[in-house]
Amino acid sequence: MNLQPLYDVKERLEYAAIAGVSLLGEDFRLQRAAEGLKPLAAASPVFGKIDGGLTKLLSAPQEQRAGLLLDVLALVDAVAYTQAKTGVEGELEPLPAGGGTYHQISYGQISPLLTALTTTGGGRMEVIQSAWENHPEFFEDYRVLPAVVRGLGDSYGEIAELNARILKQVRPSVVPVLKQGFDPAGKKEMARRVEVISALEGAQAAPWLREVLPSAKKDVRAAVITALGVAAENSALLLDLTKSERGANRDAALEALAKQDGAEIAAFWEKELEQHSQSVKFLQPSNADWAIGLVTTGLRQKLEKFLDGRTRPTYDEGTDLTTWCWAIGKKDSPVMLEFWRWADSRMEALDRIEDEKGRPCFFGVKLTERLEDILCHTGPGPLRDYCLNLFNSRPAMTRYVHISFLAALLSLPAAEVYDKYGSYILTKKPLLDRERKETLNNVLLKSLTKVYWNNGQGRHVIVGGQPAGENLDSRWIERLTHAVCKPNMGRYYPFGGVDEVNGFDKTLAELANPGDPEQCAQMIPYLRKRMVETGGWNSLSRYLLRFGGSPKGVLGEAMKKGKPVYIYYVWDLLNEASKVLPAGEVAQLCREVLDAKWIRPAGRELAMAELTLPWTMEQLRAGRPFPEWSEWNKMRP
Amino acid sequence: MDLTEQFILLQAPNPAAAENGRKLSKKGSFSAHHRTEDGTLYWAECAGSGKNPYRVSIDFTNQDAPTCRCSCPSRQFPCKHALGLMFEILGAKPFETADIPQDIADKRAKQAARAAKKEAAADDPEKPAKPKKPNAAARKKKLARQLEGLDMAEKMVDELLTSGLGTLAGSSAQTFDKLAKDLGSCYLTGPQTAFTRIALTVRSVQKDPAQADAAYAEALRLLVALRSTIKKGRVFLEGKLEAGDFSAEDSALFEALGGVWKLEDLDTIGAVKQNARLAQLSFDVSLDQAKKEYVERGWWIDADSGELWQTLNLRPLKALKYVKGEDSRFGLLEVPALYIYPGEGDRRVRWDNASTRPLTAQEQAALPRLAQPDLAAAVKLVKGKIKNTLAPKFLAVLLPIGQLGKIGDEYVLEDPAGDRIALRDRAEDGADHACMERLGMLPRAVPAGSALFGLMFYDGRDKSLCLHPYSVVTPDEILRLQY
Repeated sequence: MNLQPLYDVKERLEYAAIAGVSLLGEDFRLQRAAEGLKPLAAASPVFGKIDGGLTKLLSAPQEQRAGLLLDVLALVDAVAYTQAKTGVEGELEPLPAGGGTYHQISYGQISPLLTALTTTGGGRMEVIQSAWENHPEFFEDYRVLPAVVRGLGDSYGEIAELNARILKQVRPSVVPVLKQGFDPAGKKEMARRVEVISALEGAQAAPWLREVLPSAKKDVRAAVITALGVAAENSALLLDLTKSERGANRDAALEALAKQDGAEIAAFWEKELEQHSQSVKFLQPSNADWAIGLVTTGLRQKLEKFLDGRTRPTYDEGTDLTTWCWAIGKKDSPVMLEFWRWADSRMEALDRIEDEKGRPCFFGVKLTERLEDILCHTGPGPLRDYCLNLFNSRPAMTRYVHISFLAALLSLPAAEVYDKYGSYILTKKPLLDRERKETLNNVLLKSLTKVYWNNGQGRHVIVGGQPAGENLDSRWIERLTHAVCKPNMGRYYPFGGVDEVNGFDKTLAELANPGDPEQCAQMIPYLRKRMVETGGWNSLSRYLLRFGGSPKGVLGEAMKKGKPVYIYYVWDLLNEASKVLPAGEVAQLCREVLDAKWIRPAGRELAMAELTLPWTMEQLRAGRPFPEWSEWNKMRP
Repeated sequence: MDLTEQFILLQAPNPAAAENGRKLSKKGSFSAHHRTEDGTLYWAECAGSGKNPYRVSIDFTNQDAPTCRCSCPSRQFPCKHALGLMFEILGAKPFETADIPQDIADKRAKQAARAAKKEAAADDPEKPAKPKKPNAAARKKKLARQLEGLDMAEKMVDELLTSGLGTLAGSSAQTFDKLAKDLGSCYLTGPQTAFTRIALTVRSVQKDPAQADAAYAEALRLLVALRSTIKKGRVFLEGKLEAGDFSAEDSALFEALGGVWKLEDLDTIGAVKQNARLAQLSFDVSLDQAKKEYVERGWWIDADSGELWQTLNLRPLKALKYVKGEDSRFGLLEVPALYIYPGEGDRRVRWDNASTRPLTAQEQAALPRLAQPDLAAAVKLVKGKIKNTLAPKFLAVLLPIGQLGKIGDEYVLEDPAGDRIALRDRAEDGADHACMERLGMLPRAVPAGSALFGLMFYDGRDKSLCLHPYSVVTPDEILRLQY
């Protein structure tokens, strides 16, 4: 049976309801549809009933039309439902199995995560991070995974990056989901998908990357080209792309080619660097021999041009040379070592290079910094041995003491390091050769800022993550606490913005081992003395507590060196002290603060201190715990 | 006590409370961990913002509904401290064995005495529960007011259709809202919600004109149902008024007009099934914009009869913090008394208490066998139900799977007899209920003898019946496409 007349009537009735039944009398389309239903009405009683209803509706007075229309529509709908078809024609292709993962997770478990992934607003990052830490398996569930993939396009960039990091760590089986709905002409989300696929599949992603490349646009194209660098088989394609692409896409091709290896690649880069010197920046992460060769040879040639001092680099040439210095990266090889020997032999000349306006270019310093960076990140080997003896072989080059000291710290026994370098820290003002001695003192102090005591690991660590060969000799602490030559090493706020600590004190406090009684015995009097000298009542008190000391007797005096303090900071310090000091001593600290009368009078803080501090002393003497801030705050007059 | 994370979440008033409890446990806020020798009571101290720690305890005397106690002032129950203590137990933190504290022992004794008293009262045939005496005058007045309201609703429908649905915008919409509100004071919250829904649907056209046809069709479907409610409701109410019968009655109209069923009323009309065994097939949550409440819906299968039930936990936005959220349930629920709401198809159920246990392999294997015999039978059933103007235009069904596959871009279910139905997401459920993507990611091949649970609905675009799949029920497991 052809039901089209029924559907026509339904459509016209719906239009009539939208337009208003007051216009029904003029609706010739409805009348025509009603006419069309007549043959069906003759064939079946139910259609006859609809036809009757339509006739009644079209001839009804206006006030009855609304009800009649709904009655007819109800009948038409009911017939439409009963006449609904099922069945789909065609070849049935079975569903692929194993495409996703299912975990028996309740709604309550995943709804906060799904909400965080699919909505906007603050607080979402923490939810995703927490779910990843507690339940990484949630992220591969087929109800969550598509949301994580869509989250690669989150408007909050950090969440998008977090999602990308998560996806790189879940199973490679997520790749089909990443490829599903992939739009090569899409935006950042699609570019991140490429990154994730490339990270998960490595060289196996190459065929897919080549497939999508022709249709990839903008961000996605750059991501695809960069990702092509993972497979050696793409080198010819990448070389072609350097010719056809422009701007960011060409840069992506260069980034990818920097990961490739081989004679053809080396030849390309040689030519590329001749034509575009700044492209050397892409070779920064490369440790390939050809890359090291190109960077060192090129840098030598560029620097040699200015070594005689007759020619001075222009601004652009100076920038270019800085990029080349940076491109050394963390390269370490015999060729690199040869380069360092060459640079060392010309260090004075390098230091003398000035730009066209007569300003020093500091190429010598820049190269030494590169050497230090490599040293801090590479293990034992020829480079470390070279660094170890660098200062010995060139004692006039005072900045080398930094390199040699770090190399010694990484490889030699602690006592030997101290015996060799300890004396450079001045404990008396030098009379002879003062400038050199002070310089060495300052350089060595700079080196010590790169070393810190890692409580978790229980050893001294060099910035960069490498542990010292042996923990620092305790004599260093003694010597440093008696140091007389302290350069400006900056100001820091290690415990928030309450008071500042100078760089020397911070370095020393972070260098000393709180578990070593000998070092603590040196640190406690030093810090107490510094409290009185600098007025660092909060930060230095906290350092004191760390080394098992107490600010008792100097706290009030130190406070009065600065501006009147907020009472909350006093409570915070005393609360901290109550965790490590006996109650009686904390009560004495309260008395000291009270006597100092150095609380801000504004906001009734001083009056509050006069109430809370005596009360706290009583509490402590009665054996009760140190009060909460809320209890102090309640006493605010 | 075998505690699981899902069990803890089930106890929590909302997921945020559980998360806060987890954080307390993670950051080591608990101290003085103790438990009784028999493992029925755990207690500890939890550091809070105050000077003194909170004293938290969990009594597992009733393992399905543990009693949580805490000295904190939180209005949420159980509080984050009690939930945190559960996470401490889950995390196998060391609990020292100790004697039960006196205060908790006293509370336990009181609780046991109360339960015994209640049980004794229930078992005593000489003291039957006193039937509540209905206030006939008040109920008569209410019926009369409802009839007045129905007249007003009819007038509103007439006026709306006379001027046309398309005019429902701006100031006319505000007047419409106001009139709809008046229906609430006539005890007609059902029609009131229907009007609000119509207004929301029509207004959605302004936001998304591309969906105008679907929105108007939906508004008209609501109007048709409303008209039917008004007509049938008037007959129903007049009949009651004439007969002087003011009791609740086994009719879907009672709820359609805005009536709220109480368990004792359902008991009175005999809508109770004893010792039911239920397995949840699916769980989902949606926001009802018209009623401004979250609807937490569970779909259940009766493991004995194969009937499909739904549970609805309604959480008004205004009281979200104070109404406990429902969650997915796994395993078999044994319900001593299952209260069944009147109506046809997808009937709502409730219960007072129930216990959960894992499904045995045999029970799980039996679930797909409870499916409809074939697609044709299910289609007949659905057509019969949805043609009723008062019924929703979908019906939950469990269909036997012959094969699941795709024809072009369309997902299709073929039953063992070779009949096919298109699988689609029901647009009205919203994007958060979309399942088709998940269907394409099934972790395992669907074994023979499996069934597909979902909502069969009428898709006006191609005038066909389709299925929105919610779960794949295999002889070994239930793969939930929702939650």
